[in-house]
Amino acid sequence: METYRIADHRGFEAGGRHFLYLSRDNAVFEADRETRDWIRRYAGDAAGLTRAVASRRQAPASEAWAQLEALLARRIILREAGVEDAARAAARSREVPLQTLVLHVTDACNLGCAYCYHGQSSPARVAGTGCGPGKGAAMSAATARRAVDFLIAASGTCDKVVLVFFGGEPLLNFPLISETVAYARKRAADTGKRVSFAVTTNGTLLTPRTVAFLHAQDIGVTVSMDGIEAVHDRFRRFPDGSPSYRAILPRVRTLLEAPRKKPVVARVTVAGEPEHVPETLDHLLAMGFSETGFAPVTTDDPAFQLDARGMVRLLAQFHLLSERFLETALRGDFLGFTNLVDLLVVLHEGEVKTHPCGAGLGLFSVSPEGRLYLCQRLTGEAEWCMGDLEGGLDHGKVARFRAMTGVERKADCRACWVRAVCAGGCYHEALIREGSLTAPNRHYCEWIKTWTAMGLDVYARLFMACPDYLDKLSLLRGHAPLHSRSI
Amino acid sequence: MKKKRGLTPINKQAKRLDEQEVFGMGEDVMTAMPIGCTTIFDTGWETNPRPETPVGNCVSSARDFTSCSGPCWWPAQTPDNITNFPDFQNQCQAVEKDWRNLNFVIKK
Repeated sequence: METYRIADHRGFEAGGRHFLYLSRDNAVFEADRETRDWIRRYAGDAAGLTRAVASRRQAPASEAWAQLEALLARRIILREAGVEDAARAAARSREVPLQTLVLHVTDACNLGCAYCYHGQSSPARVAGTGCGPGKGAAMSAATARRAVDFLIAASGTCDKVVLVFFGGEPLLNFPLISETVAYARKRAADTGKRVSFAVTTNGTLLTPRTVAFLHAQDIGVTVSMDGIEAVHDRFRRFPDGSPSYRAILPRVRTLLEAPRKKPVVARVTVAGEPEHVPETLDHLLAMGFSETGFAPVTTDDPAFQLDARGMVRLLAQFHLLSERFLETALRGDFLGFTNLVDLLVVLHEGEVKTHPCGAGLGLFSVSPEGRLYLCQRLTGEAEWCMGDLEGGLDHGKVARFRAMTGVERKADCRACWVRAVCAGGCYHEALIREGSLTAPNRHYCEWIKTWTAMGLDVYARLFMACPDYLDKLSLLRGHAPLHSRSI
Repeated sequence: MKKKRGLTPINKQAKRLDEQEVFGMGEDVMTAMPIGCTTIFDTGWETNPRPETPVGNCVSSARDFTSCSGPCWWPAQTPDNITNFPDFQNQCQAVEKDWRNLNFVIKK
């Protein structure tokens, strides 16, 4: 006899209306009282629910059965069976085309930021043994060309590909970037693909020439900056200890004042006082950045880490900014608070993550020597070297990685209501903080849950006031509008 | 689209779940499947677990229309394919009783 149960969910109220968030499907419904009562009544009572389903099924034309069928169809009531696992496993085993390749164009960096994760993780990485990079190695033009060829070949049926320039400080190897962009455009044109580019820089090497190139070539630019001068200069310093803010400021201005098509965004590492976050956002947006995103520093050094209390304080600041985002949105304007924009888009699109990010799925990184790694942060980690440009990906190893890191393998995540959004969190962060790349990031579980709940609240309120705004946010992130499925 | 009592889809995923019913993929067919249910072997689904006839067979015949149409396997056209009548279920809420309502639809 089959049994039924109410799917994992979270009910929440916003603006006097009641919503239902389905954890497994990342779906948001508005639910009336009757539906909510029904769900509440049977949430812990699978046997009672199974009996109710059986008895209502006896009258298939009845209203009562139709109501129940609606809940079954929307997967609010689930039938307990092995069907789901088999289907998910089959879906997972599908070939994932390569879409994004991160080129580690140089290991060298002209800053010496105190909190940098570079060389922090495994000894192999620091010593340069195995897959680890040599110190300050720069990628050669030949390797970059091979990387482009690899990306085009491995992208299969995917006609849009992305090439990211990363480092170290990638602008230290600027000639390589300009050469590679030209080569990638030519290869893309030859193969009927569209290639787009992005670079992450510390801003110290921007010149009118590089800025003109970046804008002319439509390269998306992310500048790592920590905001107001005092905060920025705490950790972002040159190797000789001198502060970098004033050196960067005029250069970033050149970048932000030039006419451009692609948005330029700032990325802030939060290490220390979370109370500076709103001020930092205002400061960077006033400078002309389209958006600013905040990430707590990834480090095992307690001197820089945000402790549990610091994370709570950060959440309070995120809450303030979320309320401001909503106010701004209701005026028809935009506040470039990336963290919330990303969360709202994830909730709006309703995609269910089987893995926390694209690393090892559609994204890989290339070291200066031409070895392939899971992502930019894990470049040089011998254990996570997934092949090289000559031999291609080690498909067995990639498959093992994918199987090992699926959210269903993480015991702590199975019962978690935000698993469709988080899926365990950043691999690199888990490696540093939890000691294992396959572990979920337990140290920020509560944080992610509270933050997602905040996001759902803003999501529902924004939906009630102006649903179109959410579609626009999705478009901003490159998602197509939802079409009816054709038969 | 059939308006559902008590539940309004808000995000895109909820709308997808809402649509799947309209397209006839109800309780038994999971959308997480790759295209076409025949691409996976799944005895839990292939055999009818219900006490209804045909016992131990594929889905009971009374549910064929709603379970196998759309992107799923069906030996011939379903009413909506052949008549361009995607809302056939509205006239046919309980197939075993209301199938006569389907008739033919001639496109003008």
